[in-house]
Amino acid sequence: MGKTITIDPVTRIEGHAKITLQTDEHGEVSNAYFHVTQFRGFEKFCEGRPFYEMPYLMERICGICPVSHLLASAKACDALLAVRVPPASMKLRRILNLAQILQSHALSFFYLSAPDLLLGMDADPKERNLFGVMRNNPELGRGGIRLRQFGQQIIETLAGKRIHPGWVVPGGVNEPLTVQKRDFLLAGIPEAIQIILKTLRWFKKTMESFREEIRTFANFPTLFMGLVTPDGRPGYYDGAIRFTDSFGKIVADNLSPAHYPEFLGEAVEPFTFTKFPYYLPFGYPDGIYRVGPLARLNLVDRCGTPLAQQEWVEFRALERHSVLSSFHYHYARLIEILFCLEHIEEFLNDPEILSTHVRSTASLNNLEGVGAAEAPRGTLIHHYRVDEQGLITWANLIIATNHNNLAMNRGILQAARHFVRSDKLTEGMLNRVEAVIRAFDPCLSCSTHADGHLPLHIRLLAPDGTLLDETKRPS
Amino acid sequence: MTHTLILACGNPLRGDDAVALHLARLLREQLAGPEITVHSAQQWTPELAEPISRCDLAIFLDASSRFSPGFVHCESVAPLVGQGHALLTHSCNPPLLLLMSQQFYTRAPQRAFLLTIGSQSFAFSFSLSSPVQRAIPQALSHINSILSGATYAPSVTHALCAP
Repeated sequence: MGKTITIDPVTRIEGHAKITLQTDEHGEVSNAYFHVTQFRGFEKFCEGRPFYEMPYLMERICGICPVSHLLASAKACDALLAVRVPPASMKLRRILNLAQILQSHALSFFYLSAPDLLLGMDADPKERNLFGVMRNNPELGRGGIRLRQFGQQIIETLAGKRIHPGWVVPGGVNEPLTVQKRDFLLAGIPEAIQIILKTLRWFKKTMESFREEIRTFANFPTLFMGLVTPDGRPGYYDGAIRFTDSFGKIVADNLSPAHYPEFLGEAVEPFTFTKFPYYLPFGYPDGIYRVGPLARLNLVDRCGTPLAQQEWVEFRALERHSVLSSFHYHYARLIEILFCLEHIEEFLNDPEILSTHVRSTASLNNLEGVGAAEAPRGTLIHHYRVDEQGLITWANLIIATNHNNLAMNRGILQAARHFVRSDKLTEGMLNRVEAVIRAFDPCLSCSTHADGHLPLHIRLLAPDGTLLDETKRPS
Repeated sequence: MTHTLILACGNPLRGDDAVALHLARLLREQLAGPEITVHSAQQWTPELAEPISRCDLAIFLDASSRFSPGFVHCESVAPLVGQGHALLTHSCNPPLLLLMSQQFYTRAPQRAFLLTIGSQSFAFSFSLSSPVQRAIPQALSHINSILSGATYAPSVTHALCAP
């Protein structure tokens, strides 16, 4: 009954997305598509470049999570060199990754989602921004800015600059940490922890007002995937891949990220440029899984730092098995911010962090290398092949946001079916569909986040394909 | 003690777009002291509202495609007027940052200026074009004038360097 809609990518506009809803003869939504219409092409145009350039080329994929690409790429290059990264350097890289997650989560929660959470999904769109947050709860807004600022300060202090830093090199990092820098970073931790604890208290009370959204925002059984350390904690920088199901049962464990083609398939659909990874043994699309904060907190056996552990126990008590509602990505994000701060403090207090041995050198020893790390939005995999001169002959990237693509598409269908009941779109409906996507915090094709307002184009189609209504929100 | 914050914005890989970063580097060498902070960034983000709220004088430095190459333009800037702004999380302009400083931290600097240099090329390059290079001494002298108390009416162009 439905009609296929062809979308031509008009321009490469960063963070551009489109949603198509299709209704049946009763005016109810029968299908929904989340289109990402941009194309980046990094996997192709890096071919022919020397492998040691890759970390700095690849981090240019994104202005929000360049550190994640820098690390995954450097790890793939470590594998090409077959080099053992010095212990101090491993810890410094871990701090950098945690700081990246901290600043990105702060952006997502406080800048992009707090307006909905504080002011309500039906609030005046003109008010739903950080200014509205500041007018209604200045402490919350200022806290969010401070957290993001602190995450960026850590990145800048370690790696030289906040966006597109260098410092991480194949084999380690290129400069050790000084006592002065360590002490400067340590001094900022207590204030940041107080901010996030206060925010968690506020959020847990606020959740009560969003029962309907919790019930309908991509709330369905899926698998969850992420990196886990050997002792069952979240493995943000490394670890083995674990899959759990909606009952919390481990489906697969101790999988090496280097062997991802054995358990991850990548499907494509004609309506979007983003790929649809799936758990290979379950097939497509039954192998749907989610990654990122919600998945990570569902996967682990424990959190591992004192305050985050307490919050994690409370979080897991939300449901008997896995926490399924994607609305709770927000909650998980806040707990991860707390975890990052505590874990950064632990690393900075480790005397080894000041070691001056931070880089190992080696020649090219392998012609293929895989690097994986947990980016803010989920597991990020870089896979390179080189020739004997070390020039890239092939690259494959599995971006964190893409893992969630199946769930995001299914999620907007669930929310649209619940909230759209007529042939007329309302602002509240538009915002709720948008908020489902926002809960996942997608980095579309990992080029950029959308601004405070995700630039959306929603089309409501009748069973015969007639356009019933259309709403555009510019970027 | 008057605290001055100089905020330079530009992309070091994009030719003349980096002129503000060059100025910032020279200013750091020239103006060492606790009363002046020089900040360089690829883009201005909302987090800058907090340090801006703590300063008495803010000087924003940027490249511009609006003016002919080497043309130095300076204007005083004030907080953006109005409400309900769609906040850009990736980049902000000086009036928006001043508004955020005022609304979020209840204080904005008493004086704020935007100094831009007309640019010739934003293509991939590590170097500045000749007219932009030639404009740097004049831009520095202009910044020193601001530091010593010069004021400008809003949106008034001051041609200090012939293109």
